[in-house]
Amino acid sequence: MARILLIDDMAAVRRAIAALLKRGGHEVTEASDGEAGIAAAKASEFDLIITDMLMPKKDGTDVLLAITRFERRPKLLAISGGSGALSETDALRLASLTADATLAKPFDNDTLLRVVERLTGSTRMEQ
Amino acid sequence: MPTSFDNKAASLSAMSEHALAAMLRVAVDASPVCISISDMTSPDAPLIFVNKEFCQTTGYGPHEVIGRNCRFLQGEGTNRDTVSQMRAAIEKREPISVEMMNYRRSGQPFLNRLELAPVFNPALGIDAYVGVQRDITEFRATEATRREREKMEALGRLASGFSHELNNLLQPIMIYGKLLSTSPEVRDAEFTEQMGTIVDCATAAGDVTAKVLRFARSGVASTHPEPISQRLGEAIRMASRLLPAGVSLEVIGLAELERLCTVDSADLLQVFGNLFRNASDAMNGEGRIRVTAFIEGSTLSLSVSDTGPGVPLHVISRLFEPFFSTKPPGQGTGLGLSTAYGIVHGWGGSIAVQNRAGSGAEFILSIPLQQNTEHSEIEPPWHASF
Repeated sequence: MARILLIDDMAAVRRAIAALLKRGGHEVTEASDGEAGIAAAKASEFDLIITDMLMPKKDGTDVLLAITRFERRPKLLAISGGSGALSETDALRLASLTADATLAKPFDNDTLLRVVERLTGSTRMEQ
Repeated sequence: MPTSFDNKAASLSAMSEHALAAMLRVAVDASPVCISISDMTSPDAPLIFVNKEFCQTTGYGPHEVIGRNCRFLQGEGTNRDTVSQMRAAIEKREPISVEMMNYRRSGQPFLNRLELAPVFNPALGIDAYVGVQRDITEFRATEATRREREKMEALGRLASGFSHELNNLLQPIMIYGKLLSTSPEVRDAEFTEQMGTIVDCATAAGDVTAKVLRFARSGVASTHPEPISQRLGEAIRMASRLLPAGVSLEVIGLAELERLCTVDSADLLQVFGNLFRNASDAMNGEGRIRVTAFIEGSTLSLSVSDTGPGVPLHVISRLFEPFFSTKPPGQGTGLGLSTAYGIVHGWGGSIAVQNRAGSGAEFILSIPLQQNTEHSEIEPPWHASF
């Protein structure tokens, strides 16, 4: 079981990923943009932060840079489906400079759970 | 005291008719456009004058054209409607401006922008037409290339915006579909199967967006360096497995490509797989595909030709558009050639199609081989060790 902060501005996407992580036995806190995400990361301790890259207000890059400065830095996983202006490949290439792992949307359920397990050293507990 | 300028003006105005005629003659011959005069008082309106540029452009000497109607410039590619339009205007002694396909003495076609104006003076007994012509072949070709590039760029932006939005929207469908179908509470086989179909379709939709993005993308994937001959050969071998038994494959010039490249094998396979499938479909599964490879300077040229019927002219300009297909609905997604286009452009190269003189279509890929520099952040895929 890992404590995970999930930051994504698209509610349907965020809630689906949260449901999947919970099914995987993890504890999930949700934030709907970069600003709320950074605030949540400061308020509680997490093993892993999963952040979307392209968001309004503060985006994924802001989140990654803010978290990197933390004394006790949680693992970072960047996810992106890209936008018309920036492809997910470019967004994730940028993210890979600070994040521990990156995943392009849409990803498969098992892929996400495997990456989470690898990053947090947790084993999956089917609920 | 008159200034020297006034002097000159005075001398010009005093120029004799004879001197002026000589001046006009020299000026017309020096003009960078084709100028001709046809005599309307004689039967069949023969040419009575052509300037130097007219001879230069058409390849005919003055003695070959004076006395003939200028329709000798026309040929099988000349639009008959344009000719009738021109004739009707001349009949009414009106000026007209047209673009028509004309032919040089050598038989080489050129696109001619022709402007005609009546020269009419009953007092002097003059009834003629002056023609001013320009060869605009190159101008139109450049314009067409630019339009083509702009169209592909616009399509790329559309495809990219569209696919990225879908990528995000597909995510919850895939996650929930799978979560629900594998939920421990669910024991209903039919429900599991239906949810499975939702997941399968969402996954397939994800593959479509990935393919469309290949068209729009300029990013490159690269791997460890290997001789071009080897990596290319491997991709061609793998792609050839897609070919039906009736299609034979001939590969020329590959062995000599010893330079190294880091281009991604999967990209190469996509390009050749799509070109081969296209050729094989065009030939209805019976014929020959020939791949020719050679390096000239710092450009790798690859040609993939087939023995099919060739590409219809009206299809050529749309061939690389995503979702454009000439196959019946349900056969082929129309993404194959657009994927190949996207990948080749991602390499900084170009892909074009032409019909070969005998029969069949030929796809020509030109790929720049860049010299690898230590400072470059992303290794160019077709860098070559010189």
